[in-house]
Amino acid sequence: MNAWEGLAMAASLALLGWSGIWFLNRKLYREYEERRALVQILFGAVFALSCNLLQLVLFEIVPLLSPQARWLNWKLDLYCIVALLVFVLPYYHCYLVFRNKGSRRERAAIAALCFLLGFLYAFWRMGVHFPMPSPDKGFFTVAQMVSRVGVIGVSVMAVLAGFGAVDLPYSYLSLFIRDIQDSDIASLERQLMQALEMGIAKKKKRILLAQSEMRRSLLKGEAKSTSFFSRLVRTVVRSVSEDEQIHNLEVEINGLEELSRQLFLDIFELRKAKQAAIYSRTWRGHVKNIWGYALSLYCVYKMLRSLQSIVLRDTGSVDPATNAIAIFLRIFHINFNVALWSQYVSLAFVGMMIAMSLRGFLQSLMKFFSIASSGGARNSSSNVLVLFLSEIMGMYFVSSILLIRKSLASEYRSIITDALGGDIQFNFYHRWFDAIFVVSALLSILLFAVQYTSKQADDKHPVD
Amino acid sequence: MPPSMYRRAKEEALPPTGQVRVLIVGDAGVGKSSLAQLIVDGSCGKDVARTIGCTVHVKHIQHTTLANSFQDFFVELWDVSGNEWYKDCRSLFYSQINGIIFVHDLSQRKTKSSLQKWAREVASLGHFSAPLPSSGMGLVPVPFLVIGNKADIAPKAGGSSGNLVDAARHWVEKQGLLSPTDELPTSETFPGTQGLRAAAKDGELDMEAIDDFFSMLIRRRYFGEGISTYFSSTQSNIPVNSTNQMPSSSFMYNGLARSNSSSRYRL
Repeated sequence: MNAWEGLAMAASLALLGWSGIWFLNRKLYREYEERRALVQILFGAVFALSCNLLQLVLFEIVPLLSPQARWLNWKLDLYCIVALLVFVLPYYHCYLVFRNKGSRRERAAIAALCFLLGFLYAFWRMGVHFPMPSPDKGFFTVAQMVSRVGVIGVSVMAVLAGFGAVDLPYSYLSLFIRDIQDSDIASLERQLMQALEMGIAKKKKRILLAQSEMRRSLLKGEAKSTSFFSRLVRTVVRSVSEDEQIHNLEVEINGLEELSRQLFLDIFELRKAKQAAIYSRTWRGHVKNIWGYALSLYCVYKMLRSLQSIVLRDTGSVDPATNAIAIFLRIFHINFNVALWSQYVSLAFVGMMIAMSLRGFLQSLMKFFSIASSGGARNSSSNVLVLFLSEIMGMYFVSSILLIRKSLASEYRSIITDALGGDIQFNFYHRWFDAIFVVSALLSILLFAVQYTSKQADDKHPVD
Repeated sequence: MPPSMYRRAKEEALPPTGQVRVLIVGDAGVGKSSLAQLIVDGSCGKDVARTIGCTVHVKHIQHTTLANSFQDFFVELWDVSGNEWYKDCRSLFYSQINGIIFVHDLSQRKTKSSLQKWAREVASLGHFSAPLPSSGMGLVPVPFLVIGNKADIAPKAGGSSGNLVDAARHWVEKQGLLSPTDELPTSETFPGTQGLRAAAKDGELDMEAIDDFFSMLIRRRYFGEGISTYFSSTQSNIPVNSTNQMPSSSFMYNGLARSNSSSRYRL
C-alpha cells in the first residue's frame, strides 16, 4: 500500500465528514438553536465513517484500491466507529445533559464517567440474551462490540423499515385523504380570533384591577382612618375580593391561551389535509395513488416473506443478484459469460440498495429532528438530540453492513467476515430483523387505523 | 415607581381610551417572546417555550398629550410564531396593524436577511390601520422598529458564530473568493434605520426608544399626527387615510424631533 492510496483514503474521509457537517447545518438545523462545534464534528465523524463502510463494500465488488489498503481501511474504520459509538458518544452525551442542567465541569465529567461505566456494563450484559461470540478471545474485541451494536442497530432498522412500509402507502393512497370544506377552516379561524380577543380583554381587565388595587393601597397608606379594627376589616375584605378576581382572571386567561393554541394546531392540520386533497386531484396525485397501491402490495409481500423466514428458519444463502440473473437467463435462453456480468449487476444492485437505504435514513432523520425539536423542546437540548441521532446513525450503518452481506455474492462476503472477526452469527441478525419488522409493521397498521378512524369521527361531528 | 406615576396613581384614573396593535415578527428562535415579556413585565423567564400560533401581551401606557395631560392607552403586542410550518396559517393575525417590530438574532446572520421576506409577507397579507400612502418608504406602510436580539452572545465584529459551515463561509468570503451574500437587508426595505440592540435574557433593552415608538404610534392613530419633517417637505398635503377612528381635529404635526441625532425608527 503506497502513500497515494493513503492520501486518497484520508481525502475521501475528509470529504464525507465535511458533507456530514454541511447536511447537519443546512438541512437538520432548521431553527436557530445553540450549537457547539464538538457536537457538529462528532456528527460529521460518525457520518464519514459510516459512509466509508458502505463505500468499502462497493470497492470490494469493483476493486479500486489494493487488497491491503482495503483491509487496513476496513479494520481502521471499524475500530474508530466502534470506539466512538461505545465510548466517546455516551460519555459526551451524558456530560452535555449534566452541563445543560447547570452543573460545573468537574461534576458533570464525573457523572458522565459513572454513566459510561454503567452503560458499558449493561452493554456487556445484553449479550447474554443473544448469540454472541464467545468471550474466550477477550472482552473488548471488535467482534464482541460489533455484535452488540448490531443488535441495537438491526432493531432500529427494522422499526424504521416496518413503519416506513406502512406509512408510505398510507400517504400515497387517495383513499385516506379527507375532504375538508373551506367553511370548516373559516369557522375554526373565527373561533380562534374570538378566543384571542377575549384573552386580550381579560388581560386588560387584570391590568386595570391590579392598578386600582395599587392605588387603593397607596391611598390607604395615607388615610387617617377611624379605628384600627375597622380599617383592618376593610383592608381584608376588599383586598381578598380583588385578589380573588385577579386570580380568577388569570385562570381564565390561561385557559383561553391553551384553547387558542389548540385551535391553531387544528387549523394547521386542516390546512395540511386540504392541500393533500387538492394535490390528490391532480394527475401527479393520481400517479401517486397507483404507486401507493403497488407499494402496499409490496409491503404485504414483504411481511409474508418475513413471517415465512422466521417460522421456517430458512434464510437463503444465494444473493438476489445471482438469483435474478439465473432467472433471466432461463427465461430468455441466453448463453453468455455469467461471471463477467454478474459482477456489474451485483454492483448496481448493491449500490442501489445502499443509496436508497442511505436516502431513506437521512429523510427519517430530518423528519424526526424537525418533530422533536419543534415539539416544545428547549433550545439547549438540540445538542443532546444531535448526539443521540449520531449514535443511532452509527449503529444503523454498522448493522446495515451485517445485513448487506447476505446480498453479496459469496466471493465478496469473505472480507466482511474477516474484518469483523469471523465469529458472528449472521443468520441470527436476519431473523431478528424479520421478527422486529413484522411487529413494527403490525403496530404501524394499528396506529394508522386508530388515527384514521378518530379523524373520521371528528369530521362527522365537528366541534361547534 | 417614578414620581410621576405616584402622583398619577393617586388621582382618579380615566379609563384607557384605546389601544394600538403592534406585530412582533422574525424567524423562529430569535427571541420574540422573550422580548415581549421583557417589554411588558420588565423581566423575562429563563426558558421560554416556543410560541404556537400567536400570543398577545398587553402593556399599559401613559401617554402625555400636547396639552400636558395624561391619557391611558393599551399596547397589544402580537407575538407571532416564526416557525416555517405555520406559514399559511399566520395571515389570520395580520389585521388592524398599527406598527411592526422586526426581531433578528445578532448571532445568526441569516435571520437578518430573512427580515426582508417577513416584510414582504406582512406587507402583502396584512391589513393596516392608517397606512402611509404607497409612496412611503420601505415595503411596510406603517412605522416599524428593528431590534437585534442576543447581543450578549453575539460574536464581536468580524467574528463568527459556533456554526462551522458559516464560519468556513465567513473565512472564504474574507479571502475574497466568494462575494458576501448575507448582507444587510436592502435599504429600500428598511431605509435608514440603525436598529436597536438588545439581550432579552439579560434584561438589556432600550426602553426609552420602545416607549417613544409606542407614543408615536398612539399619536399617529388617535391624534392625527405623524408624518415626519422631511417627508412633509417633499409633499405638502398628504392625505392621511382615515379609515379608522380619528379625532375630529386632524392636523399635521411637524417635527417629532428627538434629542439625539440618529433617528432610530421610521415613520
